Amino acid sequence: MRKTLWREIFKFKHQRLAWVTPLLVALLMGGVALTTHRMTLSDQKFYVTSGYVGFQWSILFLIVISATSVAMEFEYGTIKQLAMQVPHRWLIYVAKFLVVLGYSMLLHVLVVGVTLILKVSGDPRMHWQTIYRYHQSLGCNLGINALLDLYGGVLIVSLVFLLASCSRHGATAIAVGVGACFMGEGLSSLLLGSFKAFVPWLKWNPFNMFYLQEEYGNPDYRTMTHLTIRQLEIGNVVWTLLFIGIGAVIFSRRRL
Amino acid sequence: MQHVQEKMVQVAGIRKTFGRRVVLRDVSFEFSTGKIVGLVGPNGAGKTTIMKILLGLTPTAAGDVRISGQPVSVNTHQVVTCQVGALIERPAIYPFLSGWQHLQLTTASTVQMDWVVKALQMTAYIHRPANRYSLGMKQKLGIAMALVTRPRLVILDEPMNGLDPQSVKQLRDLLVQLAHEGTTFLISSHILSELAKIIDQVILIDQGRVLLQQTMTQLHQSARAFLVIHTAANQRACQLLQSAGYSVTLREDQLSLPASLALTPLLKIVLDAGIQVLKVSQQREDLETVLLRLLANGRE
Ligand SMILES: Nc1ncnc2c1ncn2[C@@H]1O[C@H](COP(=O)(O)OP(=O)(O)OP(=O)(O)O)[C@@H](O)[C@H]1O
Ligand SMILES: [Mg+2]
Repeated sequence: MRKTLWREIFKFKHQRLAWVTPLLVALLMGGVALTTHRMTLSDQKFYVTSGYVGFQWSILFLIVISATSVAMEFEYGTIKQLAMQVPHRWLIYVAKFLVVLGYSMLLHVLVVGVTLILKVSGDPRMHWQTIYRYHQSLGCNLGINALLDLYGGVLIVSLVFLLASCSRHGATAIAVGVGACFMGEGLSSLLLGSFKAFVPWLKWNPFNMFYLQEEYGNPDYRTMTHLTIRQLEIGNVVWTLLFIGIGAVIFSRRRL
Repeated sequence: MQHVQEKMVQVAGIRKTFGRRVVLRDVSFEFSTGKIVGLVGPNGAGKTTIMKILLGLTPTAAGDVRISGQPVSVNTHQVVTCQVGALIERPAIYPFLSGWQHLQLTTASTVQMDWVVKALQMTAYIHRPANRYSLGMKQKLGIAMALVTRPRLVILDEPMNGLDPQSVKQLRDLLVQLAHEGTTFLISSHILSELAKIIDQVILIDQGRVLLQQTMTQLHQSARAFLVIHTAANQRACQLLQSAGYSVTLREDQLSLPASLALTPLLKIVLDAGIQVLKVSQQREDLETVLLRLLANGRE
């Protein structure tokens, strides 16, 4: 496993996307920070705690990285060489997942770091100690958001991994992944709203789990998700494990 | 001495299906350590499929595969990981890595890497990114990745694809040298003559069956010999011989007959008719012809 992981990291760090992503995320955050200068103090606080939209950009790039990481092996035919070098093919899958996970952590650290720098250019009345949501300071809010986003991102990454091991081309996985990421919540509410009788089952649908971050910020979401925060947390883990499990099996069984 | 005779690969009764299509039926063969074995057959015969099964990349419906006596399947192929190098179908290449980085992924030893780069004469471009490689350069890199760890068994699927004549010769020499040092090779091709100079054994497959497994000596012996006669009037000589009961064929400007015939009475017929004999010689079928004949027989 150590060798497989080393190989995946080696390949990953030699891909341009791995180095361009942090740069782009930082630039995009800078761009957003510029537009917030004229905004009200409370709006500026919101942008600071949400990392100047950096978290959303990160997950977009993570979707692309996840999908290509899996799909490229089949596209380049390199999967045969890899499969010979490991006792079980799912090890490759898990190694790839761990690499993306590690990278996701780095990206989140980066977003927090860049936010710290960008805040300097914001309204001087903003202080990290200012009490904001959850009866916590502004700094704490940023930290909590980063953690929640990291946590929720794992579910999306595992879904994209699953999609990429089913499809011939990474593009399909990217498209569906992005779609799920930005419309999944809406889809879930639509489902729960349309089939009231089935809510006890439907509330466990994976897209409903995306609400974790919102519900943490605003407990009123409970009426929409029909799940407590604890349940959302557990649901996230269970679906992630399920997606990884199914994806790994499909990945291992795929014809070479 | 006993060690040399060890069976490197043993394949028994393999059956492989894709859906309802049977692609391999009851394929069995074996060969010993240090041999270069050619896996020859037309397009779609099942060469690549056999190799994938040997490497534990593809499940089988039935049969037993062993390398160095250890079983190989999709879920148990430790022996493949430790002792086998392979190039299957097309070289496994990431466009964003250089040739050298590909080798780094395969081995930790720079000594081995230096050796293979020099042996395949790739020094000029090994540090360039692989997306700028030509077809032949990629092919060489694929071969290099199969050889770099100095595995005991090397499986190469049509390795000569895209190589220029000079590289083909270098590769042949390298393979022969490695075989002398104890490496076993299984090499596929649909052209036998490409391999004939280096292989010890040939396994001929067609439509998913093994038609024959022979040493090259045996194959050369099964090449038919012909008696070839040039005369000043081939047409007339042919008619004369035919009416005398010989099975003779007129090809281009020569008469060809089975080689086992007594020469004197045959020539006497021709000479008595006043036809001048220009040349009498014996020829053998070339290997490609033998192979085509065997294939045709196998399909009957
Ligand atoms: N993924 C697949 N699905 C269905 N049939 C397949 C698949 N792969 C191979 N086959 C069939 O299996 C048979 C053997 O294919 P294989 O690739 O082993 O042939 P080959 O001897 O390597 O041919 P070539 O000389 O063209 O490389 C062919 O008839 C092919 O149609
Ligand atoms: Mg083939």
